[in-house]
Amino acid sequence: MEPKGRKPALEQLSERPRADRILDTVGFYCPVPIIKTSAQIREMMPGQVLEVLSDDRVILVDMPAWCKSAGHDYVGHLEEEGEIHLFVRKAGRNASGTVRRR
Amino acid sequence: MGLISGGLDSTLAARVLMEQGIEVHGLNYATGFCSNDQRRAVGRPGDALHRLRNEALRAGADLGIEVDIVPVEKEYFSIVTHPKFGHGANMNPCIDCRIFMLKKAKEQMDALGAHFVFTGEVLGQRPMSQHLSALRTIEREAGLEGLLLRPLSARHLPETIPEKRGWVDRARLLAISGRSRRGQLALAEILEIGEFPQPSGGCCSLTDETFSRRLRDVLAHQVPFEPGTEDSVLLKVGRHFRVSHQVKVVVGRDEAENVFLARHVAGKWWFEVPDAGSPLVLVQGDPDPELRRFIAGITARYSSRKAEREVDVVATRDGTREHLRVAPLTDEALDPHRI
Repeated sequence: MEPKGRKPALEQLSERPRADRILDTVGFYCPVPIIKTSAQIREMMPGQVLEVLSDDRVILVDMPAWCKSAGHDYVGHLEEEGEIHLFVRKAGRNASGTVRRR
Repeated sequence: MGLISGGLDSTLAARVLMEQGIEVHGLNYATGFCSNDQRRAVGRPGDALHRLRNEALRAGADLGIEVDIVPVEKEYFSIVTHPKFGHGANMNPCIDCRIFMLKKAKEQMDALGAHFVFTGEVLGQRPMSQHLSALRTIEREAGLEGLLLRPLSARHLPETIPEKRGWVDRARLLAISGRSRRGQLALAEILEIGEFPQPSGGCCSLTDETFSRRLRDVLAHQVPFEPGTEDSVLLKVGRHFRVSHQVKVVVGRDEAENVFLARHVAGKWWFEVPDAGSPLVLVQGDPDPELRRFIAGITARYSSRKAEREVDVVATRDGTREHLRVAPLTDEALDPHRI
């Protein structure tokens, strides 16, 4: 259980991860981006990275929470030209054969 | 399968079962009427991110369980407009809402091979949907007789199949009832659940009197309305005036609302007072010239020049611009039109 009153980590990634797929949710607000992310990631292979584009800043809190809930790795985010790019790595058996949570 | 809102009760219900070693999967239905979702769509700059987060996802992360967010907006809207068990004080169809969500949960329970459904409902907590007879009706109508467990009040309720079969230890379930939340708060402390939204009657816009009045107006005047889109958000934004059967006016109350309304001006008339502190006034419908003067009067009334005898107002629709010089309307003239 995390302590009460925690604040989300909003630091941006220093490097852009390589994405296997891109999902554009710009213009949609909660919970649509999470629903679309969930549907998209179901179609991907474990270890692959999904890049999600959004202009809803609260996704900086919701996406890490969803990843933790669903067992996927939240890699981090970048902000470019008013859009937020979030990176999620699908959990499961990755390319090196290591079994990930879920 | 559990209905997880992210509030304290559903979080506790999940934890009580998890303490027994039961694998829990969360469901959260996106109805299009969550006021938190609507607030974030407007996006006021001062709003702290964690106050606008999706609480069901936060609860899932804290509990370490997956919570599926399931979009149901269009289907759900039919029970809002035609609830079998009627509305509550406003447009909230509480009993039908629970039945709807539990029917959906049953479908997912069957599809995923789960054994039963649980909720955070507390006997006697809510007047419309949580008294004993309502809880029984909801269970029966949802097709979940014997398979719906309410861990927080279970020991006040008849034994369910999960308890009879020993999947769940009834002795470790609770006997909370009534409107006081002392029992839940004490349990939260014992289970070290440190973070949950403060109880405030939930985040359903349908329980809100103003939102409900505006939704009834939309339905009465057959305004195009698609739940789960910005149509819902528009009902939360600004001051609303019905100026004729076919024309409604939305007046932005601050910069964030003006920015939000500005996203909807394509193909519509919108009004402002240039070179002044002015609301953006968005018009739904096609006002004739006389009505446009009336709307210009509304715009002037809510501008920083409301004390002046006459004010210049600009009305715009796509490439058309119209300059109108009008007197700001009085509140007495406006009040009959307020929604």
